[in-house]
Formats: sequence, structure tokens, C-alpha cells
Amino acid sequence: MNQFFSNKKLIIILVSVIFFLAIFSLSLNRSGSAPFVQRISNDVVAISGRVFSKPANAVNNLFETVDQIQDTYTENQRLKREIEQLYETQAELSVLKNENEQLREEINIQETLTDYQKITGTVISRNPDGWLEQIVINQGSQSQIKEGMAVLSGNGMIGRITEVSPTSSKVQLLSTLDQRNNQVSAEVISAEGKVVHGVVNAYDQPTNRLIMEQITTEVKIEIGEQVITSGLGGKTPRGLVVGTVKEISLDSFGLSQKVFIEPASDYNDIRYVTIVNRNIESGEE
Amino acid sequence: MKSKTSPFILPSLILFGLLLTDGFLSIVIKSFFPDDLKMMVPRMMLMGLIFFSFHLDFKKLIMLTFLIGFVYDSYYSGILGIYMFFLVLLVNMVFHFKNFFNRNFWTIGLFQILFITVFEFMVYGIYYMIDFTSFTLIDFLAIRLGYTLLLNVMMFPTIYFPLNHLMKKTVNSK
Repeated sequence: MNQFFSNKKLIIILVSVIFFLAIFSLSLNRSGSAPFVQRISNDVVAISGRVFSKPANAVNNLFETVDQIQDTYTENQRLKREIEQLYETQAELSVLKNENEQLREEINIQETLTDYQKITGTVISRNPDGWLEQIVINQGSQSQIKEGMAVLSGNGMIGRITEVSPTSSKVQLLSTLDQRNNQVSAEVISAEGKVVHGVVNAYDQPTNRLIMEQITTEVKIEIGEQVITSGLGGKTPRGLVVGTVKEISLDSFGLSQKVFIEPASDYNDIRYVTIVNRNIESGEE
Repeated sequence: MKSKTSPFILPSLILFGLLLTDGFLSIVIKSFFPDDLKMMVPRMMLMGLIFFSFHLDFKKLIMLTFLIGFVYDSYYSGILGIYMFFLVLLVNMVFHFKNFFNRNFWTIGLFQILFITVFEFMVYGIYYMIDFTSFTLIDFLAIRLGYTLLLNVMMFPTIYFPLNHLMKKTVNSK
């Protein structure tokens, strides 16, 4: 006994292993915001990180411009065609919006699941080790950002806010295999106009596809249909694009359908993001 | 007074810079090589740490590693403890192995390859244990380890020569 306690090296090793295990499990099971020390250190790093992200963005933009010039002509042709269709859709949309508002007033609904506000942000850095796909953005609790808000980039939803500091916050991408934060309640509006609900809760890395599960077998889903968020999960509004249906199969028990989704936005090339703040409160907290 | 403080503050500033470099390099690399089957992980900070374990004394080194590990964990992943623990462990190993070798470009370079591999295995192991990755060992070796080593071996000279120059200068001024 005495000999054991006199072995200083062993004691140090034991104590440090216990210490590391303790903070590891504590931070892994943390719910709510990060401790004060962590928030401060994150912010200090993020502020200096901004200096570094500027040249990175500049380099990326330069190469992208060169890339874009190469196929400008074909893109231009395609866009011209698309714009013509867009005019019609826009006119239709404004009529529908107007009608929607009038109808809402008549039945006395102020806010629905589809109403939200946008906050834009820039990506400062990305977690270098790819195990936990997280990016750090330059907006924090000072610009009303809260944990759990949905984040968009390009054409669709890319993830959720998982940690907020005063002037920076972390976004976990949907391509992370983290069962704690990474479930999005989604829906597919089928060709017959039926709404099919499900949960996007997994990601298949080799094929780069999201997986949506818990879908009833009674409704038939077609390949190519759009998957959008349903707003039933709590903090996400309804109507954010997640991706398009690529493959449909039954789950391992044969009781529900499983849909493989091609993501609407590229998870590898993210520079600017839009954080979505739902107007209607979930009444969770 | 100056000679007492500078060997600690300068390395910590450099490591902090390398940590941020890792973050922005990963944005650039991801957008240039969007292939999901080739994962390249920049490990500038780790290479810097391995370099400094040849030059600093033990106590300062461990303190520095602990601090930088905390910042890395807190800033990038939010799960404290993984990098903190493994970096301290790794630097310990390097510190005890280094006496058997000469200090030159080639030996330090081989140390980098060896210990980046060890480190990648350790981090993969822990994420596999807590179920955050679907990678099998084969996936890990084929998709990740090879490309990571390739990238870091290419970047090693850009770290080694400036740091070596700097270290020589500080030792001389002392």
C-alpha cells in the first residue's frame, strides 16, 4: 500500500486518465450550452480564425471564377431557358401568396410553421478531422442564434446549430453520424398530393446519400420527388429542401419504407450559410 | 527574463497559428477534392507539436500540449478530452523516443509519419467506440490514412525549415 502511493509517476498517470475520462464523458453527454470557459476560448479562437479564413475564401473564389468562365456559354443558354419559366412561376407565386394571406386573415391564423427569418453567416473554419463534420460560422448569440436552428447553404438544408458562443457558433452537418442531433423530421409530397412523413436520420458516406426512415408503406413514393422538412421536429420550419429521392427500399424488417436521398446542397463546399429562425415557438423549453 | 519566457510563448503562438491553418486548409482541401473516398486531413498542428518535442523541455512541453489540445477540442469538435489526452500521450512518447536518434530532417520526418499514423489510429479508435463513424478498419486504411499521410508528408518541409531556422536563432541568441 505504502509503496503504491509513493510511486509518484503512477499516481499522476492514474489521476490524469480519470480526469480525461471525466471531462470526455461530461462533454459528450452535455445538454444545453457549453461551459463559460469553453465559450470564451471558442470566441477568441474564432476571432483570430477570421483573419485566416479571408485568404482561404479569396483563393477558392479565384479558382472558382476560372472554373466558371470555361462553361459560361452552355450555362448561359440553360439559364435563359430557365428564366422564361421562372417569370410564370413568379407571377403564380405572388398571386398564391396574396390569396394565402387573405385566407389566413379570414380564419385568424397569424403564424404558421412555414414562417421564418433568415440570418446570414460566413464559414470561418471546418473541423480538420472528418469524423465529426462541423463548421464554425461567424454569427453567435449576439445575433439571436440559438441551438437547434436549421442551417441552409446553396439549395438546401445542411445541418443544425449545435453550440453557440457570443460571436461564433458551430454547425453540425447532416453528414455526421451523430444520433443526438442529427434527426430531421421530413416529408415527401407525392404526385397524388399526399404528404408522407418520415425522419432523416442517417448518412451513407460512400454513396453520399442521406437516409430517411419510418415511412408508411401505404403510400407509393416515386424517384425524383422532393424531400422537404416538415416542421414537426421542433425548431425547424416547414418547407426547407433536404434533397431528392434517389432510391426506395424496405427497411430490414419489411415494415416501413426507407428512402435514399441525394442532398440538395454540397456538403464539401460550404462558404456562406443562412441560419433559419422559425417564428412560431415550439413551446419545448 | 526574456530568455526565460520566450521559449514558451513563441511555440504556443506558432502552434495556435498552425491550429487555425488546419481549419482553413480543410475548407480549401474539401472544396478542391470533393471526392468522398479520398479524405485528406491536414495535421499541421500535430507536426508542429512533434517538432517542438525535440526542442522544448518536458514540463513546458506537456503544459503547452495540454492547452493546445483543449483549444482544439473545444473549437473544432466540442467533445473535450480526445485530442487533449492523445496529444499529451503522443508527445510523451516522442519525448522518450527522441534520445535514440539524431536530430535532422530525415529522422524528424520519419517521426512525423510514424506518429501521425499512431495518432490517426487512436482518434479513429475512440470515434469508433462512441459510434460516431461507420468506417470499418479497411475503409479507414483505404479512404483516410493513406491520403492523409500523403498530404502531410508533402507539407512537412514547409513546416520543418522555417521552424528549424527559428529554433536555431533562439538558441543562438540565448
